[in-house]
Amino acid sequence: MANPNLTWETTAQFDAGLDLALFKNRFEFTFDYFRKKTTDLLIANNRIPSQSGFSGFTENFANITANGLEFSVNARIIRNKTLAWTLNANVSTGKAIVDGLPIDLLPSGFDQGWLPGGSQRLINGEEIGTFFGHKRAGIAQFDDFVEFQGLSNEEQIALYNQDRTATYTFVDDYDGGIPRAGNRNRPGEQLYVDLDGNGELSEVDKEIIGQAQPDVTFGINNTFEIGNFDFSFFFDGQFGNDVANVSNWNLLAFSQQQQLAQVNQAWTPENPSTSNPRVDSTNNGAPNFVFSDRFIEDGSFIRLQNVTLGYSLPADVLDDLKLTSLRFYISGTNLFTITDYTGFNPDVNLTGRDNLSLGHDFGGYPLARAIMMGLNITL
Amino acid sequence: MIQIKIDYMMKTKYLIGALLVALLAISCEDFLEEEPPNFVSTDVFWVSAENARIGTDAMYEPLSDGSSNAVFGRGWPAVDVGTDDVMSRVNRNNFADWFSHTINAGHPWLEAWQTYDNHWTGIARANDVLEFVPRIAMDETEKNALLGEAYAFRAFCYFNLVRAWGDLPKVVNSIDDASDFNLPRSSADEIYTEIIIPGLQFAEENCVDELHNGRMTKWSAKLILADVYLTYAGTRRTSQGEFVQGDASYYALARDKAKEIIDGSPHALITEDFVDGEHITPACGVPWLEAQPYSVESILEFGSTNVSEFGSWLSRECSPFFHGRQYWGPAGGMPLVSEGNSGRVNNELRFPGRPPATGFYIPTPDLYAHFEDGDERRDWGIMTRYDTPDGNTYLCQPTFRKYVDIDFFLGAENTSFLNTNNNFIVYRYADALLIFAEAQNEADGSPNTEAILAVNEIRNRAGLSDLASGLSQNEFRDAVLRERRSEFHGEIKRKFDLMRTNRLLSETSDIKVEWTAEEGSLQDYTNKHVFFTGNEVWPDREWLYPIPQTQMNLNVNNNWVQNEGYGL
Repeated sequence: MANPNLTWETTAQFDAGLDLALFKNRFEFTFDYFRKKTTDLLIANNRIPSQSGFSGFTENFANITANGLEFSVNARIIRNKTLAWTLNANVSTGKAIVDGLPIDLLPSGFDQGWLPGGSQRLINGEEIGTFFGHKRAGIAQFDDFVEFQGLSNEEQIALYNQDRTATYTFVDDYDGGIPRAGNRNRPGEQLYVDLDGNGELSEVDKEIIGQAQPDVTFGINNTFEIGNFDFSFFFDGQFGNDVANVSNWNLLAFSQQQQLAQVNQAWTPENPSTSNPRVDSTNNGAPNFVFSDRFIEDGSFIRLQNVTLGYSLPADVLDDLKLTSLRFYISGTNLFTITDYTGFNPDVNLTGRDNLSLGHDFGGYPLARAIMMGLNITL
Repeated sequence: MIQIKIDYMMKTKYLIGALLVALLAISCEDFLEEEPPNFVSTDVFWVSAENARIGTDAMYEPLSDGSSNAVFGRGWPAVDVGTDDVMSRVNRNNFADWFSHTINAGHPWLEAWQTYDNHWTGIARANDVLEFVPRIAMDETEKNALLGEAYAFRAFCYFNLVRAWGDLPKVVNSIDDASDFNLPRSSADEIYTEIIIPGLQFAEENCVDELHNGRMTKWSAKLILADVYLTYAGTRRTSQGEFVQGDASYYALARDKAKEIIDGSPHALITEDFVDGEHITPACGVPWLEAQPYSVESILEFGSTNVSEFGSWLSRECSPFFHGRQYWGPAGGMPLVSEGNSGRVNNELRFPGRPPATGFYIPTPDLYAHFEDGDERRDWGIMTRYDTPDGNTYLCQPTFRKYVDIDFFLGAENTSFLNTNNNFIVYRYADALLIFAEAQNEADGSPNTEAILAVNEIRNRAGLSDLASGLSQNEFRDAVLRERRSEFHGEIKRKFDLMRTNRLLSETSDIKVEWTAEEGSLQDYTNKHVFFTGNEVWPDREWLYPIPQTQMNLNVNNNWVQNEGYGL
């Protein structure tokens, strides 16, 4: 469908900055505040109702407002003939927030269609990259069901084992979560929050379960020069971002396929877990898939991006060799990452450049760790 | 030193805009007026009779496309899953919710499979034909025939949608801006009386009077219209959950419309067997022979082409299992590989083409048991055995023949599950006969001679004798409905039949789900999905499907209300 009204996106940006240099520029500080508002956002292939005959429509709509602070420092802390230490660091905060949408809950994120509405939604007043799905509410236990009341633990196990696909009745005063469908009312099932309290898991029980944008990103670089040696290390990282671990949609299905070791802690009648559901072959596959916070992880990390150690030959040796300079160095990148994220790399984006599907780890290739040795010669 | 910097700027795009303005000033106009080379715009396309034909052909594609989202090539047979005719094989979970009757608005069949969406794409393309073809200077008869095709095709899409989803937005314009599709849902009655019936009435007057070749003809329109009348006369449930009795006066309309086809069309029932060497296809199966599509019996047939990636996926989805071992019974029951070789056949118990055992749509034992003794439609239509070139007969898992490209199953060269040419016949001359018989009996209170003849024509073709004479209205109604089940098995008519005759609950309350030895197999066996108990209560809400959840979200400002019983 043609759109005769397409127009440019308009961006208005306000920057206020403060540069501060002290002690003959030995310490330089930069503070920046920015507010960037993009209006008439040009969204390609935006979902429109299918009675149009089209799946998408390119149109100008919605606004994105990004507010943020950036701070950087460049400090030559020690400057001697035999020792120099330079610190460069920057920290930034800020989030991009969408508004002016014609409707809330516009599909975005991963796999629109397969997962109805996608793993993320665009919601007026919320961040771009807002994960939208079900919140887990524990695991159904024997005591939640009428049929298991008043039995000894052995009797409960025996009753459960009689028919593992049987369904039971929740006790009268039950106020916990609900399984994905009414025919799964049984011990060991994953429970989800029933927001509207109608006893059936549906679209209205979905809520915001994570944010892909980090609260803070930072980088710190230290450089030392000690005599003819130079040494530097560079950390970077971010805090407060969530990642959808798409690989775990299968690996943590608690189903019959290859699974992560965590599935060894699945609920069993003998060892009733309160955090992992039972293993069930019918958990798997598209019709039974529930997008929940089980697949959302904290993507905060600190990474040692680079360490370099170098040695330059002293001037008198160079003169003998008729060289201007000669430096040996050894350098390592991606040496370690401190993170709670269980996938390969918490610093991910589904397609690399799609700003409407931030923070999805879909089997992304892991970052390589590299150790390099080198020699720089200047004739 | 302290330096303070404050700047404020309106950025980027204005700058580029200004550059463009500058360029304009120094360029000649011809240079700037370009025809975009990478797509054909509406303005340049709808200009000739030839393009009008191409544009009209394009509307069929969303329903017959060879892709994973094909409607008649893959997803639509699921309408009958869970009835007494069609089930899925064990552990095939795609339609588990059909058996447990827990369908929800987020199910992939509604969303990713695009069963709902593709009908709308077809409607949009038909609307384009209706909008743009009238502007083309061309022969008026030819033009009206194309418009008739578009009206008939649009009506057919709406007919499927309204039976499956109930209330619908009335999208009747070529989409130009959002107001053309941002519409509330209108009642099913309005869809029938304002879009479907008038559209088919235009089509029956203006479409070509020819045999069917994949495009809507005068006779396609009349037959769809007869089915619409028959359906509208029967029972249904609304999106609000109300039970509607239907307007019985439409039976007479259905009777007369079907009669027009019987009396006036060039179509007929095929009564000759087809003999190809040792293979004999009984007459009842000849319309489905891949080698001779669009037979004299076909009145609406969606094509599938034996070109890689363009074939129908149904051969794949209807294949129940890799081999026939369980069906043979214990290992000792299997035949010897050959004389003097004490090994038992194993791999031979599968079709040589090795269809993937997807098993979405397989026949129920209930359907198999429904056929009368001697009914050729059973042994042709539900494959339970096949003859190999070495002269052995092997048992295979029961499979709908109508869904299969037999060349692929038998391993012919250049075939694969994407590479098949089994067309889907939606309507054929047999529909006219049985619609006439049923509608005449309802409209006139008892069967007349012609109605009895119509049923007997179908029965005789299948190798059965005439109906008993002197049947009452009720007895004849039962006989026609039984005949429909046998004749149209696998043709996605069962659930719609059960709904319009208000038998959906009764006919699905006691379904035979286990095969017993005498039914072609060497032993009792089951291949049913674990949730298919055969006696689940069909809930009232599942007369209709829920509107796909994504569509509910996208239509929130159009005040759509979800079909009754499916939550929000």
